[in-house]
Amino acid sequence: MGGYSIVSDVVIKTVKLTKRYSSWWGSQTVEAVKNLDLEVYRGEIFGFLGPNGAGKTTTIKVLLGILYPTSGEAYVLGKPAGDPETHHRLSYLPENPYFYEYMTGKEILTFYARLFGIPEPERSKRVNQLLDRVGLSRAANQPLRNYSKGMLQRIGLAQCLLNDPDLLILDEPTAGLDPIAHIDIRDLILELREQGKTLFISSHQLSDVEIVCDRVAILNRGELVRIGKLEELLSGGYVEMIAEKVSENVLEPIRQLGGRPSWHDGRLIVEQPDDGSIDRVIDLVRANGGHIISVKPYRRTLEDLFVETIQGGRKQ
Amino acid sequence: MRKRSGKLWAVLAVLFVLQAGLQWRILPLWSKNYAPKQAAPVGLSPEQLLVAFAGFREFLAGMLWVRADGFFHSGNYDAILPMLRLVTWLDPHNIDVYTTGAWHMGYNFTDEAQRSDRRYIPLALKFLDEGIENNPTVWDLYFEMGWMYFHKIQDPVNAVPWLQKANEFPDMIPARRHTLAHALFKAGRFDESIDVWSRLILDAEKERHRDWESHTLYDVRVKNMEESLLDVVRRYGPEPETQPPLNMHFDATVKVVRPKVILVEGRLAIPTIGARVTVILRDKGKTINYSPKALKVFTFEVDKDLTYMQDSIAVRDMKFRREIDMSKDPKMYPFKAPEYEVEFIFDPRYASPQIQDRIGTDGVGMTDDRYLDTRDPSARMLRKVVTLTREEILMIGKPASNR
Amino acid sequence: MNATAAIAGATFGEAVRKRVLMVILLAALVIILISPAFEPFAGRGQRTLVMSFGFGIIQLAGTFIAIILCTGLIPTEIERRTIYTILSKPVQRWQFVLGKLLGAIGTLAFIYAMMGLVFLLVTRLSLGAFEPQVIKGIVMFFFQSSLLASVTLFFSTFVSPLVNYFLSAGVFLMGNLMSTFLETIQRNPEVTPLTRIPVQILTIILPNFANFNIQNPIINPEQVLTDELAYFIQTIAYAIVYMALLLVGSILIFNQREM
Repeated sequence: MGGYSIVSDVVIKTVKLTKRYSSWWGSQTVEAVKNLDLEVYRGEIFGFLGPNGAGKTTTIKVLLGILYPTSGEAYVLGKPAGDPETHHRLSYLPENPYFYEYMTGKEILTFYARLFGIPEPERSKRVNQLLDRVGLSRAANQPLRNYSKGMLQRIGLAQCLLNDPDLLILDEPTAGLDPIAHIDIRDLILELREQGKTLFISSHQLSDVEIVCDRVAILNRGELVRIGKLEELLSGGYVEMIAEKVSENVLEPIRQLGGRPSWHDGRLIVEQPDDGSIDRVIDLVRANGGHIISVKPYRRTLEDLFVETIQGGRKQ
Repeated sequence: MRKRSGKLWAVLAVLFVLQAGLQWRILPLWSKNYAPKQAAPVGLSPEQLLVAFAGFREFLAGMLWVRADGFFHSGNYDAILPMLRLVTWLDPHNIDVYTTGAWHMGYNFTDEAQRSDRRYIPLALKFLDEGIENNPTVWDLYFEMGWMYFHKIQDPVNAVPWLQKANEFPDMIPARRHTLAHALFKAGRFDESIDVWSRLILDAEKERHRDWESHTLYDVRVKNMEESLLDVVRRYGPEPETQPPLNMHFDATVKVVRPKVILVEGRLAIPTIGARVTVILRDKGKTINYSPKALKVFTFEVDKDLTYMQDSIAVRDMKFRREIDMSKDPKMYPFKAPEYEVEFIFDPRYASPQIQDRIGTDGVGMTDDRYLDTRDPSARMLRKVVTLTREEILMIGKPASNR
Repeated sequence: MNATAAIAGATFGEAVRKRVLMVILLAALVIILISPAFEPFAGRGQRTLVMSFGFGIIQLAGTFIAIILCTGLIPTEIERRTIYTILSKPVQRWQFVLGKLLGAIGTLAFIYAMMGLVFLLVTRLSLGAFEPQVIKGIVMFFFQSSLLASVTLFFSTFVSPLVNYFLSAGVFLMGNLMSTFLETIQRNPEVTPLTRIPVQILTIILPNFANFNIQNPIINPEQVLTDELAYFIQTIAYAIVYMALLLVGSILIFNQREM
């Protein structure tokens, strides 16, 4: 299907992917995803970011073949999205997953293993291994309705690993979890990358993702607003300098140097771009009788980028 | 990417044609085996019809029958009739409803003095007739029809064919087979009656050693045949006890004592007890046609304008006398006709055996100066008819007359 | 096929733990058990009472269970998002639908087996003999409910559960009514082909549930049936073909469905 030659290192590719929802009489339409071009490469952790309602889950559902694109194309593992053959090699963890509550942890994993077509005795072996790996061996024979949210998430991850997939698609994997569970999942994600797996992680929470992602894409209102390597996107932090007893004469020259000075309790606080100009600012302050209290570099965070991007998007 | 599903559509089409073909083949068999046999009755509420059609026919019929039974025990007889109709429509193979319903119609509608309303008998016969039409392979309803003639209508001649039909079924209850022999005897067909007994004895003989019950059955049949033979020899043999004929000196009078209350008195010169005289008061010329085909379709409606009273009075000391009060049941006795006939009948066929020993089952040993009726080939009877006008019965205008 | 079996198994496991269904089943079992207590009202109609009561309750319970169970089978999976974990596995949509249907049929088989056993026991106790005829009626009701289950499952691929209750119940009533309706019309000489032919067509198109209502001759065994075996074979074949038809229809719609 389609004339695209898929480079073997491209695990996910979308071309002008558009998904439009319409009410059944067709009078109202919502464009959940607009002209999305995306490439995810083998072995990377790809962060798929955006606020709630940005179109992340819609994109994932298209990639899984649960939704059909209105226009454009989507390829996963070299095949058109939804091809059941590729489903042997990928795994999906939905946001806040629910399972058959009456089943025990072991039963639900056995159920999914059967869906993957994993035969016995391989099936039992793998189920037990994974229960062990996600730390649920002791709860294996308890019904899922007794599980905490974190335990359910771990079951969700375990069912993702049953088929030893090449690609894992995780939708908001840390949503609603406590901080310790966050760290557990982050460690697991890193471990999976070590094994050479590709991870496609959607999130609207940023702190846990920013540390592990190789590349991120930011989606807002269905449109891709930023995509790139994390270092590239985060380049351009700033240096904060605090001084006292400074005359107001310095403000204008600092602004000319690209800084953002402000007064706070009689102290001068300057946010200076991380481009070496801070030396000249220090000279300026000293020359005007100022006393420097601290000079501290700040890196730009993903959160800053996110907020800037989304606000930029809103201004448009 | 969406599936293209041309093949599935083709499969869908094939399956559709296949199911249509199967359904077309199923319909006639369903119609033969499982369809309700009557047309839908009018007067059912939509919910009742809906439940009925929804496949709960038999269930609903069962529930209704339980309810009808409740009505029966509380004496609400009129409420039972529509129930009967509904139940047999929903479940036309419910034999019990037919038998009980017919018995109910034949026997349970009575006046204050427990005289049953004879106007309902043709309804009961029609109801049974319909039951037989729906269930021709079951002996019960033929028997019930025969019993209705034999016992209620006291017409052994017309009882015989129905009882014969019932006796053809191998699964009929043994004791009920005797009714045919009794009916044949009362109908004056003595040879055939004894024939039936001897066949029944042969049947019972094979089984008589099986258990006590079978043995008793055999004994009863032998005893019955012996008695019948003895009766025939005594009554109709070379030295018949029925000769010479006894003059019955039959007579009867009617006196209106109060409006709609008559006093009937009479005389029957029979020396032993156990004779009964039947009295019928009816609109003049309006006899009831006791035939299953008298009604074209089954209905619960009787002729509300018809007055038809029938009673049976015991004879003691060669006399009989009864005051018959028809004033309390205006529904049964509307007295709409201008003229009425009061008929007195003595029928030896239903007299007690000691009387029959003297006059014969068929009345060959009796005679009467005025009222001997020989029109019925199966038996000689005594019959007197008196006519009354509406004014006389209601005591309008002139004083009570005595005839 | 393993995936289909797994889905069917999970569906069965969930259904037999569904409280509404088990309450209906339990109520039916209790009513069947106590039905002989009504015998004093039945007079000579004891057999009629026990039989029609039992068959009526079994059919009623089976019908309700089929509809209630199947309206939720697919919508619930979508609502709680379990379907995403299933369809993201190497499972085709048709396998999912087939698994759901088989699970529902399995549940009905279990429910009918329970009710049938209790009914057999009750008839044995109150009528004094085992009535193997009862099994015939139960089997036919099982097929009736299974066909109803496929109708409901079919509707559930494109209407909401609430609409589905009424739609399925409506089709069930219609499907019970058409044969009798056609019969009445065919017996009436005054009906013109203009009326008769549409009724005939409708009778052929709609799933015919009246085919399976064979309890009457079991309640009143005196009736002689013509070609009973042929009737049974044809009717069961009809049920299977019609269920396959509805399954294919469900798959066609579900393949297009977005969740």
